[in-house]
Amino acid sequence: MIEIYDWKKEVGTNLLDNNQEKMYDITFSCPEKFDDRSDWSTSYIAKISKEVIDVSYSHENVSLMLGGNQYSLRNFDSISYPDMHILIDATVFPLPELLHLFSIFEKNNQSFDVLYVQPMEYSKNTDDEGIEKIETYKLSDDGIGPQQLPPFVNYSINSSLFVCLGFEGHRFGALVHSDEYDTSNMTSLIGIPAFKAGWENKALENNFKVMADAGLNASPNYKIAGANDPLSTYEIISKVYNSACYQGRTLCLAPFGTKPTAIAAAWFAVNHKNVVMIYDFVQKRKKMSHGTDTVHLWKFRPKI
Amino acid sequence: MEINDVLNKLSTARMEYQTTNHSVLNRFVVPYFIDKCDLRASSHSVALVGSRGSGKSTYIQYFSHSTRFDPSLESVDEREFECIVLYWKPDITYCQGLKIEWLGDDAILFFMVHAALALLDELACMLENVNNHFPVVMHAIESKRNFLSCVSNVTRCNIESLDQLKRWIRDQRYNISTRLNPINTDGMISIEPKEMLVYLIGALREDCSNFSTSIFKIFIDEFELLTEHQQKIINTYRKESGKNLNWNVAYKANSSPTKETTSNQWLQRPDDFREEDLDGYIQENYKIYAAEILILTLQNAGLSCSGTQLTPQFLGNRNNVRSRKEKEYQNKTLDIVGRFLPTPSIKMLSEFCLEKKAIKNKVKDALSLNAIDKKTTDAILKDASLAITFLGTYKQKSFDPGIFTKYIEGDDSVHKKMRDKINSYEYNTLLSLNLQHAYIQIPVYAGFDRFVTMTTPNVRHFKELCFSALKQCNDVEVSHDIQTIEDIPVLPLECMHLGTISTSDSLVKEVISYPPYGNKLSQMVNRIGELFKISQKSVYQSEPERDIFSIEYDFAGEDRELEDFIQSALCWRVLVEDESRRIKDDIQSTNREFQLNPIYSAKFGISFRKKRGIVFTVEKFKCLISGTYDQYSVVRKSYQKQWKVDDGDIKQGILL
Repeated sequence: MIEIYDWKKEVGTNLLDNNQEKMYDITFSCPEKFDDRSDWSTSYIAKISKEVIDVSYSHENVSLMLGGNQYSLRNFDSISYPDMHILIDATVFPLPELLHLFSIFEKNNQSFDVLYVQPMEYSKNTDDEGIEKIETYKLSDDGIGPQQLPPFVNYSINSSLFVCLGFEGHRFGALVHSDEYDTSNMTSLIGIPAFKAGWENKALENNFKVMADAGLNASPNYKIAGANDPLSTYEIISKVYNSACYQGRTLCLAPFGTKPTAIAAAWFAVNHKNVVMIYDFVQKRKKMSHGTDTVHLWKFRPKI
Repeated sequence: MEINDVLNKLSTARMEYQTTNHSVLNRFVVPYFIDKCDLRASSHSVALVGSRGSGKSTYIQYFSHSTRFDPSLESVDEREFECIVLYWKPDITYCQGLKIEWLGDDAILFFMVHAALALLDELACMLENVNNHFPVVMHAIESKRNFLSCVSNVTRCNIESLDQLKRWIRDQRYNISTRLNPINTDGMISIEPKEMLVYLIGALREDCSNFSTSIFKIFIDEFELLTEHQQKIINTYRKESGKNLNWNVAYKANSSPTKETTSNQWLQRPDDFREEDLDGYIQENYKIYAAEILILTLQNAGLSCSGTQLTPQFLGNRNNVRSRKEKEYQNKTLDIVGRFLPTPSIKMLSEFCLEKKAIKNKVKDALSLNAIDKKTTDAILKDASLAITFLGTYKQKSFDPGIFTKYIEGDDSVHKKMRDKINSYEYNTLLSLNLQHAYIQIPVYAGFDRFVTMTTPNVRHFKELCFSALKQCNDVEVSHDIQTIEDIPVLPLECMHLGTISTSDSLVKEVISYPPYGNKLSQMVNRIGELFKISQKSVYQSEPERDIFSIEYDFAGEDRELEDFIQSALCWRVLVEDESRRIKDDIQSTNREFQLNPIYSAKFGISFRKKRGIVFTVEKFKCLISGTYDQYSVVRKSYQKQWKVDDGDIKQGILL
């Protein structure tokens, strides 16, 4: 099991200005650069890390590419970075990469840090929708649709669904409209306080229709946790998990919200191997966000 | 009961949520085609194919033991033993997660165990259901013990009763659920589902004479969503289907499940299986069927249907199909629904429109502009269809006001021509007027008949339109005490119209969540919908009611990505296609014409009837589905210019 034992927050510009020593041996990062945050973290990581390893997950092959080496899921045991100071740049990492890196370090009883940069703003959908009042966001292109992520695979029948809501309500919609999950046992997490005051309304607006659709035949529970707070998100998942276990149900996590909530979900999953992790493999869009805001550093270590 | 209470009880239009034991007893209207598509009568393996919302699952469940031996039935005929249908809807997301690339051969093991446990559970449920009506069956099983002995052999555990078997299945499911993360197959059960069923059914026949000649049919739902390898395993079973144990599947229309088996043999049609097209069957009698389903749904929501034989029991009994085919019965049934969902004729809509002073003045201006004398003007204004058609055509280049004058004068030579003109342009003009003037809302989408046309063959969408109309009525009407269907007030045309727009808008918004091309599908629907809206808004229309399109592409496999996209659109029924060709273009290189699902038409204010269309180049079509907004704007502007539409307020939506 792993736990967060420290959380540092800083404004990005301050960090870049500081003279930093190379405190990390390896940083795991996404090979693709999407937005200003990618540019910022690339510069920052170059200052603080001796080596950068690109990581990408292949859903087709169920394998992880680590710096040019391919590891199938069944061979993850062979991956180890003993006695190294490790950083994971989670800013633009999709969930599968995060989850598998967490799993590897959890198995190896290794401490690691996770970096995340908040954006100043997300890119709005520029297609003019006429009298549409809802501001929509196009942060990603089509993915293959909601799938269980190996090895966090289990029965979806008789399960409890936990969905982190974000700005892209259609991702949640795909889950609900798939008719494969029991929405009558669903808990939705809304990020409040949001990254910025008022953004919670945007998340609600973009998910409202799907929540109403799901509510047609159910009474979904709503929970709130800070959009950039993996600790409180973890606590809430934990409560829902206990409740699901009590009812003899499998907990299915669908972290479609902010990255810190995805970090919490991945963290929870590596500590509770019987949960189902759902991901839709959407393709992040270039320029999905603008600017950089607060930088978070969460320090993980093996839980004793 | 108020309308609101009825709405609460109708909270879902989806049958699958309403039943927990898979029985559809008293919740199913036996369709008229049942004799043509009797799932139990076919000697071949069946592939039941239907589009989303066509009711595939419900149809199979009607034949399954859950309904045939439902505990609440008063009596069950012994002939029900002739064919026993077991229904299995795999846990799709779980099955999709069992990837060969991750688990290797263990992926097959886990899938087989999942299938075997589900089918064993289904077999146990079947025996429980049967036992409710034929206690002799369990008595025979418990006394002769062949079946229990074989079950014990399969489970490697001493099973003495069905309860014990169900507990064992539950325990195994838990056990299996703990073996994937981390993978641990040591000591795990391994059951081959087909061999298991052959073995257990054989024992069942030995124990119990009721089953001695029974044919067992397994129906696997949502087959197209299984992985290719899992489909191959099931296909092998389908290929090996015998007289006594028969494997069948159901999948979405326009999906492409593999026909391969685990050997080098492929499934061949019709030798190995017959495809039954549910959509085609439903379309034959969709109108009356939809009316009956609505009546049944309202009854299930607690309303009675006084003075008719239309009870859930009547509608769910296949022996009544013959009497339901009688004209008198059908008229009576359609009257019940037509009473509270009246369909205004196009002429009535024109009259409604002409009552608006602003429109009447527009017609007068148009007549005056064409120097129509007062007597003819008065006569045209008395005939709303004529007046609206005049308004909708007088700006056309080839417009000849003489034909109207001659028609009014009773000149037979123009009679047919005038009627054709009215048929072509009256409804079209009403649609255009709605788009041209924000202050007008002619209820062009109102009425049961239009609901039927817009939703064929999607029963789910039909019910959603009806409920949406009820909801609109609930918002504007004073309270009504409703105990019977006859108590439902006549829904105002505006409520039905606005309800349709609301449902349409909601369904268009849903498109983005249809993987794997949700964004592109949504972009296509919104952009093509907008183009047709621009056309519909034009006052110079030579081609009325544009709502179909084709692509200059021969679908011969050259552009796989484009073909996959179109296939996905058809599979989700975002697009519909039919064989007939309407687009006038002699040099067309395609024979495929598409229409946005007619239910989306109300969102854009366009026609839901298949009339005229446009041809896109492949490049233009790709711009519509994945081009930037700026690229799309160029395409849109070119059509605006072509159709002589002002830039003005083309983006104006329909105010709800």
